[in-house]
Amino acid sequence: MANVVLKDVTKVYPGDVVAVDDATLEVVDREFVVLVGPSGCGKSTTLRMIAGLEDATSGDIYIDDQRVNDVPPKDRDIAMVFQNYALYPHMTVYKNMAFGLKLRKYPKSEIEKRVKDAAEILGITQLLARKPKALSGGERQRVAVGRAIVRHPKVFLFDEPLSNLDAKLRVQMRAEISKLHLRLQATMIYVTHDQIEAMTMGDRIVVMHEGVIQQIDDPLSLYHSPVNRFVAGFIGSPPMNFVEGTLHRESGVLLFKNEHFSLVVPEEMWAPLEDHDAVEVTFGIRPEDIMAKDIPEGSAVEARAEVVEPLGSEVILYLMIGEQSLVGKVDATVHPEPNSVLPIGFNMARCHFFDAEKGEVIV
Amino acid sequence: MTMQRMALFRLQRKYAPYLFVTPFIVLFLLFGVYPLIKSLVLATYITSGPKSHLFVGLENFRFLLSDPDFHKAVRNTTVFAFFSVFLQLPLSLGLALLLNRELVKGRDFFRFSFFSPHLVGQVFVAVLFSVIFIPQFGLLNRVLHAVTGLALDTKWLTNPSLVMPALILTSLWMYVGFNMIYFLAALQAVDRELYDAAQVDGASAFQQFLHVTIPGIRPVAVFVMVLSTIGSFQLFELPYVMLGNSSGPEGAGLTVVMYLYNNGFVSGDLGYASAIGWSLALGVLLISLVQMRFTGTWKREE
Repeated sequence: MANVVLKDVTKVYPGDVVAVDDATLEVVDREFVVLVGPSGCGKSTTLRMIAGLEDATSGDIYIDDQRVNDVPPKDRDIAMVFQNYALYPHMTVYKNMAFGLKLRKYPKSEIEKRVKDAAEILGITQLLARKPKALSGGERQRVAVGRAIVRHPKVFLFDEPLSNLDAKLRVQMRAEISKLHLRLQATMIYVTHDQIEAMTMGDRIVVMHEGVIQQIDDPLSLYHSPVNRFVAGFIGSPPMNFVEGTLHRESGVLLFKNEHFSLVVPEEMWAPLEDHDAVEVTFGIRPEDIMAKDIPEGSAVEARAEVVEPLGSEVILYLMIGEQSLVGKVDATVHPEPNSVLPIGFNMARCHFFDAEKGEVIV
Repeated sequence: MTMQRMALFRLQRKYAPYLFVTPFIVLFLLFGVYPLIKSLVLATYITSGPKSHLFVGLENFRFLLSDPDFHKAVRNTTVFAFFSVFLQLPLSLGLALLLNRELVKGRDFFRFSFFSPHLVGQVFVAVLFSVIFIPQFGLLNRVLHAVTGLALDTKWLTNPSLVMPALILTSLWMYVGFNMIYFLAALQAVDRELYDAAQVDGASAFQQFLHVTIPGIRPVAVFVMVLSTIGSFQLFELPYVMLGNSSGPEGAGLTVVMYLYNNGFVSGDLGYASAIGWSLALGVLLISLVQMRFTGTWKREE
């Protein structure tokens, strides 16, 4: 097993398209790291550079402390699971899994043992004689994972492996890959555009946007302390609400104001916000920090509930305050009529303020 | 609606579809089925012109078996077909592989250039190449003389042992680019991810070709092979025009279809020509079946 290090890695495609911009990342041994971001953010390119399927334009890539920039994929001791499974259509499941070992001239008995072991772990022993065409999506996915397992590689790379599965199977395979990680104790790097997959699977998550790594952190830190507006908006579902406004000091308290409402900023946030007096800022609040019940006195704001989605465990409200739309996730007992007006409150202790221009977090 | 009109309406509904397909059926029977049956019947007659014919049963076919000219035609055509398939297809595939690389500049230009000979037709190509093959002044001899020192008076189209190479060369020029288009399409349809997976699995460029490219283009390759074989056995205009409406020196350019033409339309024995035609059709069918059998086209995918 091994660590993976990227140092100032940049990928520029012909036509000056910068796919990955100065990425630095250290994946420690046995870690499960997820690269996440919207499509076109450079996460797949990053993974493909680690695999050696793309050359880095500049920067260094290390696997197990060895610089691998000029090492071909086959000698990097990595295995990869692809989005469309990439199973060889004319080979049986057994041959698909054995192919890499056969090319590396492993003895037949060893190949057989490894394939059978992997098939057992994944529960596909009964499929070994079949061809990929005769398998369901989930089964193909398992074979693709099996092909990676038999190699006993230093690093596993996953490129959106679950995006072609239906929702139910995706949840199931998510758990299985996590279990596999525990069992194999291997370094795994996993690319996805699905923030829920990232949150549930990663030891650490790398959030990328437009080729740039935004933040590297464990799931909860990412959730509670996003470094900028992009990360705040990308992680969490429904996403964080953002409201533009200005800060004003009035009668001894700091207020966040816009044309529809004003909110008292908690005292512990005053210090970092000092320089932003009367400046445009973005106020961020997660849906679950919006309350429709037990609102602290004097802080209620009138909002119109345009759409009400009862989910059983909670209620999602699509709210309008003037022309400002907000999404709130509130207590299941609150059940307003659609288009009715109700008082809502904000859990200000959990709110965030971002620089309105650059999007960086202030507090 | 009156009862009568109802009945008429029902009648129309019932028979209208047949009315609509009638033109096709009539044409198909007249120009497809009838000639086929007629030629099979004809094959059992000796004819001399359209009026006089004599029933001989399977005698025409029996004569074919011992006809040295027919044997020569079959031999020539088979040699031509063999080289067409085994020279043309690898060359086509090689060109397609080259043009499939993104590094190659001006791919569209080359693609069109290689394909364009096919647009002008066999007769034009034959005329063009009979000029290229002229001794002393022909382009081919000039180039060969300059490069290899080969004699300038090499008689491509009058030396019996050079006629077949000349024909094969001409058809290469004409069909390599055409078949390349099929291969190019097939190559572009191979899933790129498979190459990535093979690379990670440790396959060299050649192993990727062997385990990803070849299986990926196999159906198209078989199709192209069968089609070129059939096409080769129908060889006629190219040698006929190149060799000045003859079968060439010592019949070195005699093909099966040319022999059929000579018998049917020069000598006037349509019966014997029909027998040749049917033998050719059956022979080509047999070869195609063998090809498909050995390339595993019929293997059931389980």
